[in-house]
Amino acid sequence: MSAPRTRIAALLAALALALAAPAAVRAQEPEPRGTVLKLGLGLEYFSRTLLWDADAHSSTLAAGYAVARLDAELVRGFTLSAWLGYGLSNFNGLVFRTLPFSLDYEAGASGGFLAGIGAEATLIKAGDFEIGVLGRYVLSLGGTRTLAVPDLNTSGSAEAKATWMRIQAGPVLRYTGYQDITPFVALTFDRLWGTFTMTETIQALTGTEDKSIAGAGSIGALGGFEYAPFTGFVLRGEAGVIPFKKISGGLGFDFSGSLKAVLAF
Amino acid sequence: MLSFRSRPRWTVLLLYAAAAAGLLAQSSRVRLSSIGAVSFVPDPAGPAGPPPYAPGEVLVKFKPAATTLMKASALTSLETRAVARIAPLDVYVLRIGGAASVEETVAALRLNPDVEYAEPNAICRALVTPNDTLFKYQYALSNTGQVIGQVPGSPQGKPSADIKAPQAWEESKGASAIVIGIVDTGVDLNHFDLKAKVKAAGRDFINDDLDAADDHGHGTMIAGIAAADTNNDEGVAGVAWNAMILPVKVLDASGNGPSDKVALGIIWAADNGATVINLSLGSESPSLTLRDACKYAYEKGVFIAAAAGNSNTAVDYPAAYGPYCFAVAATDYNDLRASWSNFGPEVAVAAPGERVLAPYPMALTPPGFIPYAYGSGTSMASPHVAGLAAIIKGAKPGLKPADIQAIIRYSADDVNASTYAGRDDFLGAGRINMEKALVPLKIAN
Repeated sequence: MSAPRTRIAALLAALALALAAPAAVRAQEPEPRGTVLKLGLGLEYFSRTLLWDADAHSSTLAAGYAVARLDAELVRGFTLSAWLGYGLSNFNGLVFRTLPFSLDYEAGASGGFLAGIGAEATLIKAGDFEIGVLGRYVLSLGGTRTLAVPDLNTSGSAEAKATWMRIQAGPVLRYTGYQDITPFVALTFDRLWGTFTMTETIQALTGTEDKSIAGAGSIGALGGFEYAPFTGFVLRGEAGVIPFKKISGGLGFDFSGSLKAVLAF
Repeated sequence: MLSFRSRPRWTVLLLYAAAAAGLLAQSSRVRLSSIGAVSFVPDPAGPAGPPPYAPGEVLVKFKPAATTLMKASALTSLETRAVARIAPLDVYVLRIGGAASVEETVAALRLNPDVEYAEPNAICRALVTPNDTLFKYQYALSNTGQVIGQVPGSPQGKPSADIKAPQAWEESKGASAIVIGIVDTGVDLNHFDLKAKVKAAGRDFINDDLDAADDHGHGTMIAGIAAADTNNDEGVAGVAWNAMILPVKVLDASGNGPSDKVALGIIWAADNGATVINLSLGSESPSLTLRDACKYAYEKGVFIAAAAGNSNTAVDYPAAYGPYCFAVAATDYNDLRASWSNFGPEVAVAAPGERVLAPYPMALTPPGFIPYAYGSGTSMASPHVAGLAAIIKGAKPGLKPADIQAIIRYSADDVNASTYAGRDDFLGAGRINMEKALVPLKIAN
């Protein structure tokens, strides 16, 4: 669908962040200081409508994962992040029609490792408002599951393995007028894409289908807060919505949510 | 050897006396694989099928001004009672308690000034059910336990003793790019239930011309079973809804043909676009020429379905030439093995072959009958498999003949498991199941 579009967006996001770094330095002067490292734990969940087979079919990916993260605030207002975690991705409803026997994946969630990197920078401060940019890239590497192929008069199995990636990038508006809570909203370019590989083996009959999947919709909105009840601790909550056009017509919405707690040291 | 197991009972029977005579004279020749009798379909096409609406039920909507008392009064006076209500529509489902018919009750309700409308509770059918008028007699495709025939005494099938065609059509109806070579007695190129599906006039190796018209009837029936024009408001449905037919005439007007002509026909079909070939013909005598022709086609990627034979003996040739040919035995409308179906280790699967309704050449149909006939034999079983193979190939063009064979074999229902569990020499892997072969299998934990 839009691999080129996704690559262009990723490049634009990277460029914006690169440009943002010096701008962030200028926006936050003076108060020079060293890098602040923060360790945290986070939980994330999202549900995303997937399009596949040349956008002819759709199903839903529901993913939830727990991550450990490291945030490095290189200068005030510019943070690079990396996180690792483990989670579950549920691809129920994917149908593999080019295998010798077509298969409808209804096996529920599969475990897999997840890694991500991100950056967030403040570009402009105006009174109690800050305008910045954020960018995130997440890679999920699912494990291989072996499942029985049912209903035939002979035994057979299928191996399922999914890999998906997600990129988010866009401007963020923060309100810093409250003492402990900083609410924010963001408009994001939000793309999800990946491959689900299904290999079928029924006696001598074998086949493999690499199904390209892509999240429906590409523009989303985020809203959330950062709560810092005491120095060195931040609780960040975030909810997102991505509108998309349904295959059957009309508008649909996908939702996401995350909660993370970060300790600075 | 041809044998005539059907006897005239209620309609005209056309006996293939000439075919039998030819066979006796030249037993080494290839002959068709039907059991020698067809029964025609009277015109008009007999009693109606299932009622178009739920028996004894009526739907009624009262006008908004109608009070509960008025409604109750109307229902009581007609000896009906409301058994359900579609609340968002304020429509009641009435059950008729008295002797009145649905039509009478509807008419009476429509006279009631408090009634906005009243109507029979029409039976809706899945859209994939074809609208072919004779589909209701095609137990092989969808067996509802219907009476298979139009006159009293016609047999009744066992529900679900079928190849699950409508369920499979939900998933795929195949592709018009897929061509089934009907290597047989030719095809009635002008039959109204076939002409839209015939790709070309074909090849006639008996008369050595490019017009494979059918002067016998057998090939027309086979073509119709495999791929009759479907959802065309008349006649029968073909297994391969969208596939096309390539007629190749290799058997003469008596239903016989020499192996060289059959071999030429197979090769010609393979060279002229057929990706599936049906061979509802056979001989007890082996023929390496035939084997090589089948091998030629198989190696070109052509799936060959072949009738096992009808003499309750060993599988005929070329059906016995596995893996090039996929030998098909016959079941009946109760999912039982047809008593005359040949058997042996070469039998791959089975399909309905008893009393199968199919188009018949218009020019050969006796007056007073429509150009359709019931036929029995592994001849009739084989094109069911050819049709399924055509749909599979249309849905998954990359599959090789061996893959398609495996799909059809592994998805078959072991209908004689109570006596022969697993693969056996009578029905092979079992009666084919189009649904399992085509509809995605749900894999769960």
